[in-house]
Amino acid sequence: SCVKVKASGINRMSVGFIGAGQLAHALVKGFTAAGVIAAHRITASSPDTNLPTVAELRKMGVNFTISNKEATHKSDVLFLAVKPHIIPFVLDEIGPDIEDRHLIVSCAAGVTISSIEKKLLQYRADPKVMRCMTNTPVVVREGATVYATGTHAEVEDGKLLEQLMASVGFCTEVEEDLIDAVTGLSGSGPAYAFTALDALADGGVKMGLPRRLAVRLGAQALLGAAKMLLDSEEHPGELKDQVCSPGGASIHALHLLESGGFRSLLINAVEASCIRTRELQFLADQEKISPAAIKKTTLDKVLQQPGISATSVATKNRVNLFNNRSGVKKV
Amino acid sequence: MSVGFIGAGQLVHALVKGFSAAGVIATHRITASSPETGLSTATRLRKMGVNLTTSNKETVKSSDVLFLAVKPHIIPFVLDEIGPDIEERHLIVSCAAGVTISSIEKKLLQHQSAPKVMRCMTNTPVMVREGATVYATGMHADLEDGKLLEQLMSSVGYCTEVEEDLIDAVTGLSGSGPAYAFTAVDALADGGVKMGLPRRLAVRLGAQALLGAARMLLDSEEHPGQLKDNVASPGGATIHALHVMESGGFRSLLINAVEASCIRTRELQHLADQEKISAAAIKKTTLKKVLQQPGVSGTGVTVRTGISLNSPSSKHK
Repeated sequence: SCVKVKASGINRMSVGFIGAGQLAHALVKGFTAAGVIAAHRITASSPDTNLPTVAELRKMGVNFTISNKEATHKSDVLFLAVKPHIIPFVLDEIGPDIEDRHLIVSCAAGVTISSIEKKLLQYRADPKVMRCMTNTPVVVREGATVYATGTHAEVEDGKLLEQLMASVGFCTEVEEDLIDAVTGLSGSGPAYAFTALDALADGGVKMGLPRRLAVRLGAQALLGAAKMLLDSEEHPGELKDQVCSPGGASIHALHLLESGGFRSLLINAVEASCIRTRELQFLADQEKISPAAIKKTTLDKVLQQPGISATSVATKNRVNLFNNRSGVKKV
Repeated sequence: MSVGFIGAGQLVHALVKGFSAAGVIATHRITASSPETGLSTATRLRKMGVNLTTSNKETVKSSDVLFLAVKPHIIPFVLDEIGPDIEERHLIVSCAAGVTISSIEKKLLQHQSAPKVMRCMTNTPVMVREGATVYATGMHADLEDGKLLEQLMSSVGYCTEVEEDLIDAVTGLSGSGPAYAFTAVDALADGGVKMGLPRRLAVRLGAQALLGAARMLLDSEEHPGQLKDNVASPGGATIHALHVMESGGFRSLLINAVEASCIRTRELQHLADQEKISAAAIKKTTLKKVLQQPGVSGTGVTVRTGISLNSPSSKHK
């Protein structure tokens, strides 16, 4: 029988992060600002101690370690916050250390719940796995998060994750097949917004505003509009109509946006991000990683971890990572 | 302190909603006037506890800070009507796009030697207390008047003082900005729906993503480009999306928009300065009802082409 961590016990719960990069940092910053969990109950692990985010995490009072196994031992909810192609190595390493209490939450874009369950089933009968897609504004507690629930995760596990993620922004459950579309929209969305803000500020500067003021006003205008929309039952088009008085400045501006196909560019962007996410997921499912991709990671350091043997990884062309025969030697 | 609004439309509704949510002034200390009692916003204002009247003069008498929140071409009529009722305590704050402080002072100097006038440009998100407001100070308004206005407007969002000549650029950017944002969220939601999301979720996620990003930028010392870089991991989904946006000249469209709104604002200001209003524009207003106001005489206005409204010979009693 499973020992469940009740949602009401969230403040007695420990959270671990495999990975200590941008995402782990953003989530920890948000969680601690929200007061939903104390920093000393959080452990983060990474073989790379030089990351600037590692220093920040340490400053926040998080327990930092180079051992993924230690992060696993010290946590109840374990976030996998590493790059997608590192996930298989991590799962092989920590698989033996997963216990009944563990809730594994993967944040890796394109990595399916079933691929993670498949790996962990080598070590236990009913691994509790969830998958989430969030975004960087969790750092200011205005994130957008969706999550999907694996075969062995229960309703309470979903509620627990939702409670955590709702402390740092909007959070809702979805079917897993929607996650790549969410990636295209709110995963990548902040990048579209930063680009827009840079351009709006350029417009303001062209018309005579000092840069700082232009950036400030542009960001405030977007923030205010988004908040109006979230607080309102009205259609975005209705709200747009209300700003556009007859013959006024706004409707003149809107005409130019429409003439340039502004809307279409944004639809294209969401589509492109979603399609690329599916591509990455497909490559991962093929269970092949190119040597170049491997080189881009901190694979050398991953290989230094206890429990990982070099025989499980070949840097010849087209490495097959999920093949049991090249399974990692257990310590 | 009491606050009055000449006008009871969208802007007044948004400001009152924001002020009362902020608790910066009680609604019973707010008076709003409009000749048109059928406006949906007027009904909502009443429900909020605001004193509604059809008499602009009554609003003036009941207030210390008086916002002029009517369409730009109505301003001259209003000033002629309330001019005699302005007293030393009054701080006049014009929210009318394109109407210069000097044009307002010129009108009021007929009645008073040192009218305290300020001009502000705000935007509709004041309604949810996330507005963007700038203001400029007239000749006879002093430092305290500026601080007072800033205190009021800061309760509903960002507020800062600027030189008056920047106000039309601000109009193009944050005045019209919400319209660009609503259009963007509509399109983002279309993108999400195309890729399989239900509409409500797509709108929610799109708006939340924009809000979160804007909040990050406001809270950060970093350049928007740096924040963009932080989101775009190598070979990932985001950089693929950014490429298609750039290919379509996304940034340029937004610069165009800010420029167009600013230029149109300057055009409207120029037309107002010419002190001529087309007959069609007048017809579009509730002029008939304005003329029904006590103190406004029909001899001051003719519906021939190219009317000069500020001519001393057409001065109202």
